[in-house]
Amino acid sequence: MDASQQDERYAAAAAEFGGAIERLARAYEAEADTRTDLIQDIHVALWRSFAAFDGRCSLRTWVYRVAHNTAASHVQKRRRLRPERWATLDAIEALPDADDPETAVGERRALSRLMALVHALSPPDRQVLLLYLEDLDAAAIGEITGLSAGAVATKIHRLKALLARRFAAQHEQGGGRA
Amino acid sequence: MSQPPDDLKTLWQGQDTETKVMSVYAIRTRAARFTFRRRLSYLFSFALIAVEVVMFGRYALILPNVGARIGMLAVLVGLGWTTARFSLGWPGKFPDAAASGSTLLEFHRTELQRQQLTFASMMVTVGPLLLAIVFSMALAVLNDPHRRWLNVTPVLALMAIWLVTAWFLSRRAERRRREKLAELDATRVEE
Repeated sequence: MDASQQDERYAAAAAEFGGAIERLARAYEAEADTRTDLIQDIHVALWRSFAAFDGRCSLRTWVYRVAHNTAASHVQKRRRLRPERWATLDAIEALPDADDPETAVGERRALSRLMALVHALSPPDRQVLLLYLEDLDAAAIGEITGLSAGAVATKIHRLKALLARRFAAQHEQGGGRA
Repeated sequence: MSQPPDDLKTLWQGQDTETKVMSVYAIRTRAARFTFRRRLSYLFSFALIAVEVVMFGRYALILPNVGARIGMLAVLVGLGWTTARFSLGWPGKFPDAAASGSTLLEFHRTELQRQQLTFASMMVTVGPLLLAIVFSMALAVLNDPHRRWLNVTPVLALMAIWLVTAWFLSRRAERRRREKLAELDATRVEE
């Protein structure tokens, strides 16, 4: 692939998946300034990766894989600088819900609660949840994360149950969308 | 709401985004800067080694005492051995950003296994160099009537401190390495 093809592919991918990349960056990095750096890093990695893109997987899978790998590296690097505690799915399910359902109304509130949950998850579980929220199927998630289809299905099942429990209570109380 | 997760998908994907797509020029600049920094760090390491070789090599040539010269040559040999062993530990080529999770996992596992740093392996790497330094100091003391062991005591003390520190650091590094390997094992079982 020559340089102009690489540029064209990148431009097309950035236009199509720019929003998804930004959502992913929000899920991996809470600080606005650092998040901008992460988004730029992802775009750089994406552009570089198109030099080796052979079309053996879909463009969407490729973009998500590059974005998640870059974000995961960012998180690991940040973890060395500022250690913080992440929770596995088991630990998250054992935690009490921090928000009061009565006051948690509206999409904004639901989104911030969802974001808090995403930030608390360990990177492997976070990766699966984000891809699930982006509406990718289990096969595509497995292709991106390297997990087996069975492992992905199990994680998605548990994540859906967790989300249903957390957000159904809020919906009943507040009548919000989520 | 019968299916909260599906509504959450809509909510998640409906977030406002102000995507600022970077220009290709900006990306090229960043990529070039990154490559430059990596190369610079390698060059810096090589430059340090070169400075040491020049320094000890110069002493090996100009020192009046034959014993001291032999000692410097021994240090150079030790330095060569240490450099050769260090260069074996350079990390492998990192998989590109499009590598799958399993590829990255396997790469990390291989690197962790390859880069085992026990005190024993550290001693194999730097032991000859340390022995060479002691040997050169011994030759310098024995061949120079004006020099006493007391003169080289600070160097010996520094070496002792370095050894104790290296012992602690290698134990900690090995513990962390084992923890990471166990973590990777757990990840693999989950698959």
